[in-house]
Amino acid sequence: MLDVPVLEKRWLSYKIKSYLPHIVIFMSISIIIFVVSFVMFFRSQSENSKNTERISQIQAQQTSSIEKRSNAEKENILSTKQEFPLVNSSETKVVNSNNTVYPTPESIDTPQNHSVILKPSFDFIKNINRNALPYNSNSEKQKNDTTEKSLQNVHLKDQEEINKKVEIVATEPIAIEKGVTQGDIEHVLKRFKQNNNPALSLFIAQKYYDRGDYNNAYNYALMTNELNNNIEDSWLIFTKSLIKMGKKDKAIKTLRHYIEYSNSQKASLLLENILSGKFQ
Amino acid sequence: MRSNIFLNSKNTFIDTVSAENYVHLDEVSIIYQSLKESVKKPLKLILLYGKPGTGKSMFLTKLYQDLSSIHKIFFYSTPIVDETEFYKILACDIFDVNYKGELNFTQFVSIVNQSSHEEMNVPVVLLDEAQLYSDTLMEKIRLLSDTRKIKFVISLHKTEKEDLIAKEHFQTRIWETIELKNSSSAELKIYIQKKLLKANCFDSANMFQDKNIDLIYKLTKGNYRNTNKLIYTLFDIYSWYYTNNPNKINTNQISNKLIEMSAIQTGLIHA
Repeated sequence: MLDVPVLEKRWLSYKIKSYLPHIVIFMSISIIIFVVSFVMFFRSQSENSKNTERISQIQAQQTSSIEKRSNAEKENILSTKQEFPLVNSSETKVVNSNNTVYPTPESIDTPQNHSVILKPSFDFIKNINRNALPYNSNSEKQKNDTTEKSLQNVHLKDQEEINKKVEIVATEPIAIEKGVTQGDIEHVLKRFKQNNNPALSLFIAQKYYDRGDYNNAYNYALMTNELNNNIEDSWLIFTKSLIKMGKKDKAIKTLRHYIEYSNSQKASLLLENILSGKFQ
Repeated sequence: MRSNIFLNSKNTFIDTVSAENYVHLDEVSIIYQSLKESVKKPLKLILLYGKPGTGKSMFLTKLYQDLSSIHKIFFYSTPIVDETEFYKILACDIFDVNYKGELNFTQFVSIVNQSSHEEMNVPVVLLDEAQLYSDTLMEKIRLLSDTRKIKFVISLHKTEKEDLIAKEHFQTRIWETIELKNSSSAELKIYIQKKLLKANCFDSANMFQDKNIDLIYKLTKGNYRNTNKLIYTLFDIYSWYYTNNPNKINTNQISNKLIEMSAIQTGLIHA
């Protein structure tokens, strides 16, 4: 006997059964797609948030470092006035006591520990050298442009007079003529005290030398040499500073010793210039 | 009333073996003509085989109806399992010999040999459901065909009996082997529509779309008997809806849902 309502129910259950695998497959595929897209979306979100956090952290670090620097510079301005005389006194000791070519670490009065954290490239020295005039022209420029005070300093015999003159040389150009770059050197000084990087001390030495502050140039060249005695420019600045300070014999001796050690062409050229009187 | 159309349509698909219900399909007609020609040949045995529901009985019925007026032909739709009974019935029907008492094979062969039928008018015996005959009786039928006094057309399912027929001693005596197969989708559509048009159910015939035929073919695999059962039930369901809930059916188009319900009802779908 045909029972259509029952048959309809059976048909409905049959259709559900027949569509069930398709529904399951469709649902599973759609769930997989949804989950994958969800994970991808949140990954990109988290990466973005991480990036923004990093950026904000970097910015915060930068702002804090800038603040620290500004504070440190303020402190440094105050402290350098006290530190420089100390350096000068120690430098005099080194000059007097050390007749050797290689400066000893004991001779350098370094307030910080000697652990070198960063060793950047010294390429900038080349740039500095490019900007600087050659030895011959430099000497001429010295004759024409540099102050007579530096020449007077060379001829001073008394060590106290030298110190006094050096102080004048050290203070006057910085304070009057190159007041703008003083902050830069102080900043580099601060950094050098923090990490004792020979590149920084070399930079400072070069800057002092360019300014005519040969005493400080000598000191920082010596410090650079103490940290790394293979930097040619530190030797050259050291020698040139000695010449400028009137210690020609010591400069020649030091330079010859370095030439024997390194066969540096630059050093040889400088020695020739010194001996011929081109560099005074 | 429209419901009468559904009822008439339903009755069209009652599964009966009747020459009136025979539907001429192109491929089936070719096979039928082939069989008809084979009967006229001086053959010994014709084997007609196929899966159940492929129209073997209908073939024999149609053949019997078509040839009975011009040829001495005898159709036994149900198998005569008892051997003596088989000989006695054949002796009575073919040779008009009413044999009282037990008739054995030897006695029947002597009756057959005494017959004076011409070679071209040898009586044809159509045996349907021959797979139900015993192996012994099948061997006797083979021997009887050797007398050339009787031609046999036997139809059987593709079962173990086919293996017996396929044996060499049988194979040599079979002149023609005809296999009946399920219909194709296109033939099935023609079959359904011809059946309905034959019964003047034009509206019902127009309700069948290609998608309906495809579904019916998928369910029945082109088997005529299953198709008859399915469509009979389909129109039965339509009749029920028309009487009880006419809003739920579309009388312009057959619903695949109702076809599937019919398939569930007839067991073609195991829900």
